[in-house]
Amino acid sequence: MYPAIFRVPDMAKTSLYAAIIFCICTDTCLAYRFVGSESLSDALVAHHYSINDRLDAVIVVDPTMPTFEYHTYYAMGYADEPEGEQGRLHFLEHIIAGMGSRPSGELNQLIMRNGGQHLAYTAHHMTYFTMRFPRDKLALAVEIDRDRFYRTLFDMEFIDNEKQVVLTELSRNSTRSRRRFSRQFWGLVYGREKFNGVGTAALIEGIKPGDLQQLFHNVLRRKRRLVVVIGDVDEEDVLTKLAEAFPSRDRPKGDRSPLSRFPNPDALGESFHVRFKSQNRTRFKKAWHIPALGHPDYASFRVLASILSRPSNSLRSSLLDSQVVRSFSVWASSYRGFGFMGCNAELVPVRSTRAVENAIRARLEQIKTQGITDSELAAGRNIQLRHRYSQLQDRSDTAWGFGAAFAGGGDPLLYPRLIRQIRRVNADDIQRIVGEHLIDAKSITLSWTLKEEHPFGAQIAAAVVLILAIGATVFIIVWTIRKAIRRFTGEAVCSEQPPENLI
Amino acid sequence: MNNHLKISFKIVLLLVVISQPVRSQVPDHHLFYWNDNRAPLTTLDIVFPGAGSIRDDTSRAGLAVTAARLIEDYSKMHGYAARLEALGTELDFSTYYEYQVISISSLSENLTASVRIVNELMRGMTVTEFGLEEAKRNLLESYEKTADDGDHGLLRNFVLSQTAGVNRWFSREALQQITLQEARKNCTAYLNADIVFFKAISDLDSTAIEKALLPITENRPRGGFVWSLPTREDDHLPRHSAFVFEHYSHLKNIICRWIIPIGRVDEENYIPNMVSWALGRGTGRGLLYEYLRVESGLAYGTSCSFRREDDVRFLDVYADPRLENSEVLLTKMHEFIAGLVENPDFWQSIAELRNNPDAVEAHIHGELTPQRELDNAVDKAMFNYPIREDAIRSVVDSEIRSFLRRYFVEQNLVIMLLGPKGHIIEILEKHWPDITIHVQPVEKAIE
Repeated sequence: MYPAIFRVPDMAKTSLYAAIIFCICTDTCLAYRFVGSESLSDALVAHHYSINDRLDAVIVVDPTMPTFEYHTYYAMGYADEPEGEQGRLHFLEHIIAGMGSRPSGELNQLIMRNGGQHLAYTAHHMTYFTMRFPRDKLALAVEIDRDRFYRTLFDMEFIDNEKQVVLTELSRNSTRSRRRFSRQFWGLVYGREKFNGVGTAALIEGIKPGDLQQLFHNVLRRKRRLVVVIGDVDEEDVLTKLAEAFPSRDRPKGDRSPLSRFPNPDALGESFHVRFKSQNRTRFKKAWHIPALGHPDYASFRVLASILSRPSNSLRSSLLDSQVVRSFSVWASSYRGFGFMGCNAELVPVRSTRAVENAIRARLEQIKTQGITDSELAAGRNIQLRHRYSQLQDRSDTAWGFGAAFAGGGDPLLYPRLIRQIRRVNADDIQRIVGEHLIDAKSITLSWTLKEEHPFGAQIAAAVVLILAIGATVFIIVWTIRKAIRRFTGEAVCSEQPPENLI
Repeated sequence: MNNHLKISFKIVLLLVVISQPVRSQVPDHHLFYWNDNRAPLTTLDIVFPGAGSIRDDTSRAGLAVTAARLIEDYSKMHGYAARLEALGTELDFSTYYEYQVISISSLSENLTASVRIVNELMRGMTVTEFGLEEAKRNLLESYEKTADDGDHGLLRNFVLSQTAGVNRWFSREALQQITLQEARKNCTAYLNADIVFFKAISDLDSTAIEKALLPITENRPRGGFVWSLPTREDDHLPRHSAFVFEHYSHLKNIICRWIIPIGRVDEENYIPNMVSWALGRGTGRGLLYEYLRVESGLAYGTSCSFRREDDVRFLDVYADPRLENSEVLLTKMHEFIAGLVENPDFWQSIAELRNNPDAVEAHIHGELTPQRELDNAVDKAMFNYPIREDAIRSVVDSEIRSFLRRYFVEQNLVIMLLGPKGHIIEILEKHWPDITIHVQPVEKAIE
């Protein structure tokens, strides 16, 4: 054990290590540049580098398991596609992930044979590719990423096959009412009539290799990229391999994906109600426009979401216990340049979601006027800290955090910084943000309910039926009486007629 | 039954605990411990062997689940849950076939305080008429929601109860019949189980965990459930049958699951593991992925999981074709399963699994997380299933062939289908006229 004077605190160790790497890099290769670092926990540190003008890298050495994750994030997602063209990027993701420069199916087999797994996703503002390999396969992972970036083929046969796969994915999603509800909400946020990252069947069927090539080379490859490597790796080895695979001179020229503002301000303050004649669920979503990840208040919203949705003594538990809702959640998320905090509720089929909305309003009003208790604050903070730390035990989740922060806020280390910010949240912050941000003028409300009939419809119908019935009865009585009178008087007339013989 | 299984759990557990690389002991109890210093967190499972649904009589399906629910509700009604939440601690209750588990997930700095609260809950727990009625109501609501959501696990449990004799997770009818006395007895026997052991993953060292556990381990009342291994005598083959669930006419895909029972839980797992890996365990891999997605585009999702329900093991093969592709996929899959023993691609995959160290690594590295390592260690201790020194490398083709000939046969194939009923029945009757078709409303799964 060193004497205390020589013991270096973890944060200091991190900075020292980063500085050494920086000096080595500056002196020897200049191929990559140290940007910053963030301590995730006592055992894990994230180092952020710039590999070239378009490529950043975050490396976390974690020897817990003899494997590593290699993720590639492009700062473009389906919310960034123009109206009517949504779905192309998702389709391109399928091609890049499955093809590279190899004949159809070979890339998948190569990954499998080397003990790997791979996945790909398209999200609102990022498209990403993940690989997991045994620790000695770093060179292969970098080579696959390089191959996909420089040499992806747009083979007609593979594209046709993938159309069938994506059409299956589309049809699977199209019948899920929760997804349709969510798509409508995000359509309102982004000001799109139809919002569907997978696209439409017509769009998918009409995709041509040229369209995909154009989208890849002229759009996606010009976006900023982030590679995240987490696992049992040697940091310098990762940096050297990345710098070799993606040299600065080869960088494509293009935009730097400026951060966007809130996409559709016209929707704020509005409520949208869709009514169906029949449906098996009533759905409700109310969300407020809040500052994005990176803003000092963002952590307070995360803590508030935990307070409102904890299992007992919360808004959520009161709505569930009183059987107003079948499920209820409160969330806070960050997108590109803006954030949202929202409540989602699912109810048995009803015509109005007023009870849920009133409960939310009443709780927020209470927080605004009376604040929160120390116990609530402690619960909210501790629950958030536990969530954030749990993420560190899952490498994919940790990598995703860097990717989302990079694509949404331009800085991959924003998520780890959130841990420190959560620790600093206090009761006054919570009270203040409710008053400042969680107001109707900053919210979007969407509900799917049962079609409401005219409030007096049933009574009017009953009255009409009653009147008709009375009328019919009166008519029958009158008619019967008149007939009887006629018969009676007719007989009398007859009898009054002179007998024929008299005429 | 295998003689090995007659060794009492205590002895087996002790032997295995001694052989664990990282282990610790608390007085009269066992702690399975794994260090994970990536985050200042501790997940602690308190395991009560013998208290699971294995004790449920058929007429009382769901009694064990009710006991767990009673304790959970009690924790909420009497303020324990709120105290734990203030510490950021999550408390969870799970019922398995052989045991019950109370799980604590906590910031490590709050572990000691959390364990103290859970200990108070365990020792203070009482069952009242009101509590039982509440638990029944909550359970019913929760299962109705699960059934309404078309939860595959619940539907699969129903299918296996009809074909392989496993216990139902839950039954509305049985729930109504549970008496206050039965519930009390079950809860007491659960919390006072003869043996209790702990599973912990933490950045704290094992001594710190032991210290935190002292309130629970000191003078813990005993005399409750006693551990014993499941004793199913035979594993008969179900008939070739299909379960078509109603209320899915709106789907544009058919959700298909082929359920293949493959013997008891106490048998060795190497062969089913190899078969499931070759077919497509994990995401985006395996022969099913190659055939049904990469080569033909017939499905979006494919998988082959190795699961167990009660003491019955089974393979669960999944695919989700569009309606227009469903007939082709169903017939292809049937041919694939029946012809697996003669399929050269399958044998190549098996050879790769056995011989290629990278591939072997590939197929286990998902198993290397601290949680999985710990679960595997505990499973080995509890079930004492046979272990081979060379693991899958020592499995020979003839063993796999004999496994396939025994289980991959038509009379052992149960298909669970969700989608438009008429369309599905037409396909089944056209291609397999002898298959027994059960058309069931989803609610049947909880009746």
